[in-house]
Amino acid sequence: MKSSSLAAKAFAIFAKDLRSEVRTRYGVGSVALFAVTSLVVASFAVSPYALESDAQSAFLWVVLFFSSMSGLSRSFVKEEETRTSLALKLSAPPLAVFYGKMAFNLTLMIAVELIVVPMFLLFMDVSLKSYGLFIVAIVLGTAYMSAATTIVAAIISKANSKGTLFAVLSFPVTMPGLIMAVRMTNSALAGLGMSSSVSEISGIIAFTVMITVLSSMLFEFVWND
Amino acid sequence: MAITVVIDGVSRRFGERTALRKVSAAARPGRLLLVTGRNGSGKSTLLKIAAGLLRPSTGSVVYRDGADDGSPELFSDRIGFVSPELSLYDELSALDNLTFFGGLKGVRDAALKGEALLERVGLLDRADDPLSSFSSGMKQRMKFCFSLINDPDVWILDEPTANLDDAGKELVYSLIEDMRKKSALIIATNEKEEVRLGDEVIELGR
Repeated sequence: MKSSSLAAKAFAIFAKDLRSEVRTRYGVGSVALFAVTSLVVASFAVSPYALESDAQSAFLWVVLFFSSMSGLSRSFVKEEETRTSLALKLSAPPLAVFYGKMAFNLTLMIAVELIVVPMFLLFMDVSLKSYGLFIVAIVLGTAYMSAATTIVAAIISKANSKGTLFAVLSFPVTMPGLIMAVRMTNSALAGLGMSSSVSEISGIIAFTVMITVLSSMLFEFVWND
Repeated sequence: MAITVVIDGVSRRFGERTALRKVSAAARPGRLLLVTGRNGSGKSTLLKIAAGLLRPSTGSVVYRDGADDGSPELFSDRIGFVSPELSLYDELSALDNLTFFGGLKGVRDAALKGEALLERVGLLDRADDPLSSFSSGMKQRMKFCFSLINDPDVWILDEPTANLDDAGKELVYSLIEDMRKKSALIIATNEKEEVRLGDEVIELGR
């Protein structure tokens, strides 16, 4: 009569969040609005030719960081504000909720990057010399940001001043991965090959695994509080 | 196998405030344990602890299923819970909500089960409508569907007839009569009509 694995339950929560997002477009709307606005304003204010590759890569990740801050917390905050978290607690194990929400945050960030990254390349007049490394930087940076912000989103969903707390708490947690993503992006824009970023690639993968494991251990206490 | 819920000396504090003090009771299969008491006496807190949604500060809640004893968390797939604090997803349809939660609770053919429950509570014709278009009474009926999607062995109801008209109340009473044949029931209420239904009554905050 009853059978479902942790993975199946996590996927069901991910699919539910995706369906809700398609209907309301709240998360992707707020994230994309911030990203596109800041990108367009900055590209008009600063001549793209005036920026070196290190400034361009930092600028790209600043836009991605702050735009994710404006939307990634929604997955948990909405559950608390609409009081649906109780039904979810009664129906799914905490780990399924955590991995489902993390997968949704990852998907949301990818959706935003599909808009932001091409715009960045266009507005900043970037001539990419190392496509492979650039894609690796974006993929690993995104995975790290999603893993790091999911647990922070769960923590701040119980607090009163959620928006401010999310950015403040996320800053130290996301910083190590963000720095490595900026360095990798800089190498890619400067035309250096994959071999120039081996330490950053292995570092960000290690950080992502570590923060995912630690978060999944901590999540049950946060979720059931 | 039927489950007996044993509540043993349960207390709960929120900071300095004691919400619940040394409550002991048992909910047995086929019996209705009724919890009553003035507002703020800890009825909802006790029900949340019984469902595993809150941990007691002291004391314990044990689910006994033959030889298998365990905490409520271990039996979560076999609990049904209705509360004023519980909401379903407004942006999803009635049937999507039940299919989603049924799937999470490991119910096969959750959609078919959901349709049967919607028919039972008189909402089958609204199955594809989002919950945002439902009245508070209809949402309360949906909570009953949610709580019954997994055929629970322990059914816990907090103020079950809140927001319901007379027909809705009659529906709830008929569901209670059906469920008390096989499940352990715990109901918190101050409605005189419902207090009479209890096989055992505990009054909190005296």
